[in-house]
Amino acid sequence: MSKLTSFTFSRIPEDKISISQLLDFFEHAHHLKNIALHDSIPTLSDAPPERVVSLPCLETLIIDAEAAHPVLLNHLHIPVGVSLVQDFDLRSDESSLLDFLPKTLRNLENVSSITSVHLSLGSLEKLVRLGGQNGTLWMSGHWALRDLHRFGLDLQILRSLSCFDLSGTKRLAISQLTSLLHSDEMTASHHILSRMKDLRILALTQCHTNGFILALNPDKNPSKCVLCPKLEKVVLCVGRRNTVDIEELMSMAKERASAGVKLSSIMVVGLGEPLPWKQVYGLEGYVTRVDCRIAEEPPRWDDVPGGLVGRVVTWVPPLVTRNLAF
Amino acid sequence: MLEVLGLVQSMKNNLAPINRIPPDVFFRIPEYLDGDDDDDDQNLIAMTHVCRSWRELLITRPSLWALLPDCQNTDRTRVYIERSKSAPLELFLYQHGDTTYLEEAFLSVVPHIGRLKSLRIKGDIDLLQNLTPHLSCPTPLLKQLSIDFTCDPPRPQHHTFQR
Repeated sequence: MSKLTSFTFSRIPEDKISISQLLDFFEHAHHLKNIALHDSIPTLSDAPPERVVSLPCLETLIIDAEAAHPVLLNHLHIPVGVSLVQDFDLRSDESSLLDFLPKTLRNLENVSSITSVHLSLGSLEKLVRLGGQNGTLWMSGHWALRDLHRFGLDLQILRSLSCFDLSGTKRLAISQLTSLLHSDEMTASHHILSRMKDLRILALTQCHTNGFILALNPDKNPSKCVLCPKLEKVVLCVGRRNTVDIEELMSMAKERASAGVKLSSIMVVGLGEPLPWKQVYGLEGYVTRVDCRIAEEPPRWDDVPGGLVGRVVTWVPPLVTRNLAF
Repeated sequence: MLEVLGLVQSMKNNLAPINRIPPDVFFRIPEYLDGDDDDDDQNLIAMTHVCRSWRELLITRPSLWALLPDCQNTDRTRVYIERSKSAPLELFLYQHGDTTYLEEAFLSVVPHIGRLKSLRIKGDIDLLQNLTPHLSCPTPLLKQLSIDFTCDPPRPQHHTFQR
C-alpha cells in the first residue's frame, strides 16, 4: 500500500482492532494524506508509550469517536500543515478539551502557532477552531445528555485553552457564551486575554456576558493592567436575548484610551432588532470609529471576525438650538 | 438474407452523423448522460445496446469499465471487471441487506486486487473480517481505501464543520 493516500475506517468494534495494528498500518502507508477514523479507535493502547508514528504527508486527520481520541493521538506525530478534526461526545460538566488531546502537544505541530481562536458554546454542541500558519485544529463536542445547559463545561473549555501557546493569537471570536458565575467568568476571561498579548480583534456574538469587556478594562480587571495592548477592534453581535452593557463598554473604551491604548474601532451589530444607537454612538468620544449595524443573521461562528456584516445604522444627533446672547 | 440485411443496417448506421464524431469525443458521452449517480453504470450498459459499432467501441475501451459504482449485481460486477482488462480499478462494494452480493462480488475482485486503485467496501463485520485479509496481497496501485463495518444502530455523524 505504498501509494495509499486516503484511508477511511468506520465503525469497527473495539475488540477487533488494536492501536498497534493501526500504527503498523500507518507506518506502511507513509504517503497517507487523508485519514478518517469513525468510531474505530480502541479505548486502551497496547503500544509502548514511547512509540510515535510520523505521518509526513498528512493533510487531514478526522477522528470521530465518543472518547479515546488521545489513545491514538499519543502515538502520532502530526506535522505542520495538517487540519486535525475531532468529533466527540461530552458526558460530564468536568469534560474539557484536554480529555481529547494527547499528553504532550509537542506531537501536534499543526497547532504550534495559533493566530485565530474561534469558539461556539451553544447549549448542545461546543465547537472550537484553532488556526494558524502551521495548520488547524477543529474540535466538536456534543452534549450527549441533552438536558440543561452546562455552564461548567464552558468554563472548562475556556480554561483548557491555556494549554496552547496563544501568544501569537490575533483574532478571538466567541459565540453563545452564557453567563458563568461572575468570579469564574472574570478569572477565565482575564486568564485567556492575558495570554493573548498580540490580540487585534475580539468578536463576541450572542454572548450573555460582560467578562471579556471587564477584563479589557484596566480599571476593573483583577491585575489592574492593560491586557491585549495591541487590540484594535471589538465586534459585538447582540441578539434578542442578549444585552449590551453600554456603560461597561464605554468605561472599558475610556480607560483604555486613558492608558494610551485607544481602540480604533467598535462595531455593534443588532441581530434583527434595533439597539440603543444613541448610547452606542456615545462611544465616539473614546474610540476612533464606531460602526453600528443591523443584520438578520449572526455571522458564522468560524468566520473571520471583524468583517462587514449587516447594513449600517446611522444616528444623526438632533440639532441643538442655542440661545445666542448678544 | 437476414445476415445481409443486418450488414446493410450496420453500414447505414455507420453513415449516421453521430457515428462520424471522433472517438475521443464519443468516449466522453457516457460522462454526460442524464440520470443520477446510481444509474451511471446502467447508462453505460444501455449505450452498448444502441448498435454494433457502439458496442464494439465501448467494450474495447477498458477505462470506461474500471469505475464500478454500487450496483448490487454480481453479474454486472464481473462484466465490469472483465471489460476493464488491466485498467486500474475503482470499486464501490456495499452490502444492502443480505451478504450474498458483497461476498460474491469481492471474491470476483480478489484475482484483480493488484490493480485496485480505489476500494470502498461496506458490510457486515463477520463478512468483512473474512474478506479483508485478501487485502494483504500486494496492492501497488491502491490510493484510496475505505472500510465501513455496518453496525446497528450507528452513532450519529454530526458533520459540523464545512472545510
